[in-house]
Amino acid sequence: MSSVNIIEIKHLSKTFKIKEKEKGFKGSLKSIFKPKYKIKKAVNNLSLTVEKGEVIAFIGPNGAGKSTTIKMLTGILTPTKGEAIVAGINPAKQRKKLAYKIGTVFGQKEQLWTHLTPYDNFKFFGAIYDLKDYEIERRIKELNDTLELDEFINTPVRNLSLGQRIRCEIAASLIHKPEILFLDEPTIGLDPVVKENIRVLIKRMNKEFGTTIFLTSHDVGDIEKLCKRVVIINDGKVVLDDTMQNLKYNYLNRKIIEVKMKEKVNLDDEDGITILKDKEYNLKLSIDVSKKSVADVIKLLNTDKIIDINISNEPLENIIANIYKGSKK
Amino acid sequence: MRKYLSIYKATLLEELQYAKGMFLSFIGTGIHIFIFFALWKYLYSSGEKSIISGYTFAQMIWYVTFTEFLTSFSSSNIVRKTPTSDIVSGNIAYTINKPYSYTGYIFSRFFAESTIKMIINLLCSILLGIILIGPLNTFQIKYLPLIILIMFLAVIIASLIRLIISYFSFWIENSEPFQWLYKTVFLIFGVTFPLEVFPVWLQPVIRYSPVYAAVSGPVKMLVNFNINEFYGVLVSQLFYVFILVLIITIEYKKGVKKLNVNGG
Amino acid sequence: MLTEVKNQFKVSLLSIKYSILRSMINKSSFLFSVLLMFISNASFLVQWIIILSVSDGADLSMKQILFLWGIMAGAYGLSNIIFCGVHYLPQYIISGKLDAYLVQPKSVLISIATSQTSMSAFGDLLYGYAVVLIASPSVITFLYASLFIITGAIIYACFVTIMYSLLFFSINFRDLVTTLTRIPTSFGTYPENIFSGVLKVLLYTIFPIGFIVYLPVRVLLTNNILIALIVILFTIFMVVFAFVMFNMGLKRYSSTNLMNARV
Repeated sequence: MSSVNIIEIKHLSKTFKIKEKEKGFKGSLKSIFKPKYKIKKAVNNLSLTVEKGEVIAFIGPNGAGKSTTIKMLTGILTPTKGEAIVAGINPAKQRKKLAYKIGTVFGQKEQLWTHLTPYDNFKFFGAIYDLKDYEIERRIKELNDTLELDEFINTPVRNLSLGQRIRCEIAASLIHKPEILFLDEPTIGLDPVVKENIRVLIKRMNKEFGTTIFLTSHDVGDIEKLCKRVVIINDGKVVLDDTMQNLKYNYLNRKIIEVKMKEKVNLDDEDGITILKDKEYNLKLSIDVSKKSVADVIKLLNTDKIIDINISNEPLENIIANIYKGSKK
Repeated sequence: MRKYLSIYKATLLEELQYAKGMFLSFIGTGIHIFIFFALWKYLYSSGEKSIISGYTFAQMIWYVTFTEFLTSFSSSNIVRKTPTSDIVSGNIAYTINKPYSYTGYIFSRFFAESTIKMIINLLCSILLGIILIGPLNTFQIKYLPLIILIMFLAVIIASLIRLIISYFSFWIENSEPFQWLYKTVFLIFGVTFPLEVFPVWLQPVIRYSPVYAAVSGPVKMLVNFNINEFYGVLVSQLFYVFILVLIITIEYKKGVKKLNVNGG
Repeated sequence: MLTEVKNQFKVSLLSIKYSILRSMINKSSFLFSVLLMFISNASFLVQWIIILSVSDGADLSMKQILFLWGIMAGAYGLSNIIFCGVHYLPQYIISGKLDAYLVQPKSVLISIATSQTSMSAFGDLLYGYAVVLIASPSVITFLYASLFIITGAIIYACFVTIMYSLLFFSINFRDLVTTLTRIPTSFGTYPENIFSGVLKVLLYTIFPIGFIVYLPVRVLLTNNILIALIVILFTIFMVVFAFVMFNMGLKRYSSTNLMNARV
């Protein structure tokens, strides 16, 4: 079934030689004449396949190797070992050929000409991908419908809000109908409403154009709302590769219970219950539902004395943080 | 005064890290001096002249070496670019509320940078001059204190003019072209040639201009000291320091006022 | 192959057009820069009037100086209108902006070179044509001047590219290399007669101001078409050399990513 795999990564590794410098003037001199190197494995024997049309979240803490991996997949960096095949092309060997099949949005790095209107920018990017004028016009229309650019398509980019700019960045990177879109932190620095808006658009794009989406983000909301599949990496290795559903099911076996009582209750840690906070009449508990049911816990509390109660899922953020921590050990 | 001293000290430490960069920027200066060395060598030898406009070849080379040395101070980004970007970005509004004057702050930093620059560039300049042409016989060590005094005043005058131009940014968006103009005028009428090389009718104009006070006058005293001319240079320098301080004070006041009215 | 070249050309033209438009956003600021650069250049004629007044016995003429300044200012101006981006190479390498060009299916070097322009460069170019035509107002001079302004602009951009390509191997020498890129322009406004020996060899090799200015001035003074051919051949050589060096640098960049200290 390899034909439906749009990205195939096999034992991909990237090591960097980092010059180590000792402190002070003497150290500087030493590093010139007798440099010492430290080997850092940024990506370490990473294997992964992505199917056509998937929306995949690629997440990990800073320095985990996310951007190094993306750079290898887009042809910016060549791997030290192993290989990647993206849209049937080896990025390290045919960078330009690959460029026609992929789109990239690097959240913090603008690609647009800020003094021009989005329309002029699209024309420019169209020319970069050898599109004919009529093809560009047709495509701009399509993108306009999907990404709702109408109201500002003729306003210079420098006068646009951050959210509008990102929409234009995404549109510009889609001008040549790429098969895969790499999004690196697309919603960074945006307010919640705009974030939501961008997420809806990304989803729609995936549906309407069938574009495969490879997304990195620190924002749990992005991942939760957009992606069916999550890959977590740490120290250059995949530590978890699962569906969003499984991730939630397996790791969401914890509930948080917050209660306010009429009088003080004495409750001790026992199997399945962890007391997070115990301050006068307020109590915060974390329950492992595989060991203790919520109902049992409430019974323990004496229901007559409860003034207020709130039961919630553990936030995805904590789950991911726990996975990072676990992989470190 | 103590606060300015502490700004000076802090900047001194900061700039110490960039000593390598200053050393590199001397390469550019050194190349200029070298081109003039080649030019004058050609001019002296092609006419088989030993003196042009009253200067020997050696004096001419030392003249250029030290005019370049003097102008290297006022080309500092601290007086040339920092104020402009502070004004344009609106950062200057924050410094207005601080208990020191902005001009004083800039000058404290400028002096700190100049201290390090002086050590590096003085060594390099003397070394380059000796390599190119040998020691300067007409230099008299007993006048050194007087020469240092007028050199110091020369740096003050040049940097004041640079700063006055930077403060133009209160009114116009891009004051950089004026800096080019300043540089070109000083280069042509001061750095490259001593006063005596110019046509007779032009000489008085240059003598009473700030170019003479800030560049050609003091350096002439270095290569060929003359007590009467020294007094002339000193009087002209004191006059210009007075005038320029007056201008910059008024300019800054009006500039800040304009900033407040327009809200930056 | 041919369509590839055509497409590249189309993108480059668009890129140059957009860069120029950007520099003209503020019209008064633009015109002011152009005007003052023109005046600033013109005031150097005063310097030469002075030099020539004390140059009896030397083989220097005002015509030679005008040609020299004309070609240098013109070539430098044109280079900084069309290829100003090469001066931003160190910045692009350090900021990671290079990556954005690497994911595009066009020549990275050409994209970068055409991505910037300098306002004052228009003043240089205008001044260049002005003085050359003052020195010798004729059609043939205009044609020759245009040819050498173009070859000079290309050679200078290639020289800067080659120098900055060295930074791919170690970014630590940024300041030194930046200083070196300014050397040709310093020598380019003085006649070659005054230089001799090893220096002259350097000016025809590593710092190729000989091919940017000195040989063209000889052609303008003597109409020697052979020298013009040599200049054209050297220009082609520089273009090839610049691309080879830059691509070697890019390869190095792809395997080390220079900024690895900040992974």
